[in-house]
Amino acid sequence: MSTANPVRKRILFVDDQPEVLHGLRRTLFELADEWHMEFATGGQVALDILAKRPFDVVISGMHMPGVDGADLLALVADRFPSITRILLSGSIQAESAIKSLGSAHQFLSKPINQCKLQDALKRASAVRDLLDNQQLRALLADLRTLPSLPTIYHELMRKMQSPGTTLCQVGELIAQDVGMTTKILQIVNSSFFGLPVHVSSPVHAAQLLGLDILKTLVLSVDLFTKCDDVELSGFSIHEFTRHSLNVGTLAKKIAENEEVEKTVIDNALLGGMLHDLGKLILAQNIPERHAEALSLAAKENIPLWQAEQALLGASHARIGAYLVGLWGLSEELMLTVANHHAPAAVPDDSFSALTAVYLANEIHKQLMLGPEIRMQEFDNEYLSRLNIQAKLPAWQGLATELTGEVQYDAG
Amino acid sequence: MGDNETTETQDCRHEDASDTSAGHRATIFVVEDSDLTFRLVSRILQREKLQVIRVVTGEEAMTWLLENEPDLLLADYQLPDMNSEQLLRALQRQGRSFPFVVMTACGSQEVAVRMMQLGALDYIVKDDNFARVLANKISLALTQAETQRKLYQTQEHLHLVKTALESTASAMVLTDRQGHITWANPAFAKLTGYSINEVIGQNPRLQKSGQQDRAFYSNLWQTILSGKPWQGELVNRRKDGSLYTERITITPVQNGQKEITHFIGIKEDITEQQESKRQLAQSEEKYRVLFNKIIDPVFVFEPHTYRFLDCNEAAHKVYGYSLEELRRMTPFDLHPKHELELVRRNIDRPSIDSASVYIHITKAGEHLVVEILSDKIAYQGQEAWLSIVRNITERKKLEGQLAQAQKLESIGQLAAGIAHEINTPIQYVGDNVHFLENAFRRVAIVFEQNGKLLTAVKEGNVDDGLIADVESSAREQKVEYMLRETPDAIRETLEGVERVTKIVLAMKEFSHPGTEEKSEVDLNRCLENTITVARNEWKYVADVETSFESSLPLVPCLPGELNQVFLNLVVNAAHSIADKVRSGTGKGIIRISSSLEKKYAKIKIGDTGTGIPENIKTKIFDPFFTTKSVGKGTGQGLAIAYNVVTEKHGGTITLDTEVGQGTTFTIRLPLEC
Repeated sequence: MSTANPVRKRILFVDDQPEVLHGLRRTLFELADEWHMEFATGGQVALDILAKRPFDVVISGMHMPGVDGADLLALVADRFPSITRILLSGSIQAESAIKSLGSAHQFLSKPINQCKLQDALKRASAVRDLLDNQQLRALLADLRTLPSLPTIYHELMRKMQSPGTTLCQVGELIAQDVGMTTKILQIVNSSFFGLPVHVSSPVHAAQLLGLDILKTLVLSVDLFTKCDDVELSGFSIHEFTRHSLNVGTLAKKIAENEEVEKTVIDNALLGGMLHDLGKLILAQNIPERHAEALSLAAKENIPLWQAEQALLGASHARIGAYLVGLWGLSEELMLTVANHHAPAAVPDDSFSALTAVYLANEIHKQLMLGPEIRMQEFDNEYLSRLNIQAKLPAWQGLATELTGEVQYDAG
Repeated sequence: MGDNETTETQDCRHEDASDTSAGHRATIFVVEDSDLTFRLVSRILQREKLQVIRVVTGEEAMTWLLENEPDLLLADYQLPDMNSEQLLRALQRQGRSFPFVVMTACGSQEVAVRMMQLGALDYIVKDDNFARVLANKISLALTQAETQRKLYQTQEHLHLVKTALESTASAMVLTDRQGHITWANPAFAKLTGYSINEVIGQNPRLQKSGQQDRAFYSNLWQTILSGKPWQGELVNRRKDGSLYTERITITPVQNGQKEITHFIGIKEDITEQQESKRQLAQSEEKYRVLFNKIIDPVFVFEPHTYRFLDCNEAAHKVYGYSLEELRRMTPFDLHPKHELELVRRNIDRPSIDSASVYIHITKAGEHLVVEILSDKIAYQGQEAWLSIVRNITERKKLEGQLAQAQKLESIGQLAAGIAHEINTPIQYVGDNVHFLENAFRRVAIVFEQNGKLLTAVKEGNVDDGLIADVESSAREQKVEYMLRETPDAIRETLEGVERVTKIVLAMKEFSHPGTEEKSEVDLNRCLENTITVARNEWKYVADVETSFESSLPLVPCLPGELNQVFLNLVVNAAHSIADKVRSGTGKGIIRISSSLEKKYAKIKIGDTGTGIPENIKTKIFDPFFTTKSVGKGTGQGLAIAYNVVTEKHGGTITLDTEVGQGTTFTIRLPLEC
């Protein structure tokens, strides 16, 4: 995914305890070539530094006298919206995680070992490379929730408030919606809740969080929001959701057929589900630009993503991937979303979630558009690199089977 | 009295005259002024084995007779000072009368008649026959007197019996064989409402109420006609128609030929008795029901042997023993061994106001926590102990759970705080050690280079390349930075480890396992530990100022429970300040002090927080009272603090508070328990 832009990322560490900052500085000193790191003792000092110099990432402690972590990140969101905001807290209480939910992109908990911290920082830096556009960065950094399909949203609210609802039911419902799936994975993958494993399914996520925290998140913190404009010009959230579900399901089938690892299969499903996340973001937040891109694509007879690239400097794939990365979802998922139009850009010759999503997306589109453009859109070079060309007809067969199977309530 | 001739005494004796009754010589009191006559009389009477007492005048006779009672008075009519008639009348006036015989001079017939009318038994004329008839007449008179006396006695007795029968409260009725009433006493009249005259001649069946059947009466008649008395209870009707219950005994009276001539009926009104018996039974029943329906087991036991006398159904149910089993047991059999001494100390004392808490063991071996109230009562006419046992096992369990919940609440809160307190140093200790590892590796590389240089120097073949290698290695490995940072990294690491150690140690001491027994505790250290473990609660909102009395002696305490009290107070203080800080003021202060005050250790925990409004000041020690939002607290913190300080330590806990200024809690703990 690396675009050749090795500008040193600028990271600001904030904590009220100087010892913590000293430790971080010493342990990260080897990365001083890669990153420009500064250390601020306390929230107010951090704000002063931020006012003077630009930063890519702010990583702050939670409990601090005066301006605490949540306050600081909220102020950063307000004053420096494009900065990636990470909380590193020593608290084990869900309350403080919930308190900072609106302002932090990612949550890490103390004590964090060096590998994890460096991973998180590397990912946060890498995400920045996906997108140069400061306005888009600010737009994405400001996103707290994603719009959900109203029917699913209402059903979830109903389930949350009725006794006897199981976590499984809630999880399965969330899995039907792109926005909810993304959001719950952000929550559950933060180490804030002390969850030790990387979670890649909404059902698993719901089970890990438990009904109580889920209720708090859904009912009082507005973790999920309902899509108000169901039919924007050129964008239907119903169509969008149906397509996402279809691609996710097909990608999963394809991955299963390849007998790859479980995580790849999970990521194939999720990747398929989230691959067009960028479209949702664009259509919901800058609908007129999205409409422009659509008409440009139609006029020039180019794929939408190329039109977006031309108009916004970034495709919906990049934009979606940026959010996936910003919210701390897995790197593989970020790569999958980012490259789902052009998997060959990733230097990987094995069958991956990206491969499955790419194939599922293309196969599904062709199936919808008709047989006349079949085959010619595939990146044959990529397929032959992975040596999977021969399997294409079988996968297409799977897709045909599935179109009958995937039932989705568009009402 | 005339000087009469004496005549020959006769040797004629009369048995009765000599002996009025076996072993008793009859006494003849002779009033005679003539010595001659007396000698004659005396001779004759003594021959008859009669005792003779003589006086001469009426006056003397009077005096003697007022005091004594002769069997017979033999008086000469004409006495020197009066005549016998006058004497007798005088005596009669005094209520004295005796069988008497008068001696008259010859030819005084009218005197004799008057004397006989006055009650004389006989008269003896002092004539020639005098000596001849005297003994005989006296003997006859004595017999007559005796008969009269007996008759009188019988009459007297009959009178008494009649009076008794008539005045008795039991109604009595006499019937002939045919059942006609021949006599009844006033009590009968009173009982039945009939006058005696009304019932005489009537049959008792006029009282028949119809409440008894034929068989009843036929059994009655069979019994009495066979000569045996019959006793029973029956309902009869009074004259006014009202019914009453009587207990009657009918006794047949038989004559010499064993023929039944009469029946005697003795009856008693037992209506009231029966009513009170019924009421008694009813109240007994009521009491039984109450006794048995009381949910708490109730025991009655004897105060000397302590044997159980009674118990209610709840006692059976709870303990599983039958009453028979319990009657062979004492309260001691219900307690575990270790409590026996305590029970022995308390068993003879009533506990009415405050129940004592004990352990009881049921037949099935289940241990119950019980509260026992006991008091002396009169039980079936004797003293006994009444013990009411309340099974508080569940309550104790709930209390325990509640206290546990509060403990968990504060521990949960603490755990979160302590996790934070520990996580932070662990973070930089980890980072520093990671750095030191790295630094060591780099320094080792440089050291190796330097070693090569040293070897080369020793061997004398140092070349520029080697020197350049050493220099570049040092540069590459950033040795200068490593060496500069290392001392600080070590220092901060040690400092971090110390911080964690301190917290863990404080936590360990703080969470001293709650022992049942008190131990000698350094309160200052308890407070220090509390401040340390609660640090995360206060450090962002307040500074803690302490002032500890260093000469404070060790105090007998339950350290676990007391720590919880201190923790609750410190956390409350921090929260109170936090509420105020949130509204824009700067950091507050928590002041904690210890001091000595007479025989108490005084601990003050004060804050500069929001204070407590007057209207809730009195409620803050109430269980479940909380101003925190739902789910934020069990509302048990201060209630438990109160309980621990006052109940478990015999101390006091008070507070001074002013809204907007803060609150100070003062705890006083006795230095000796």
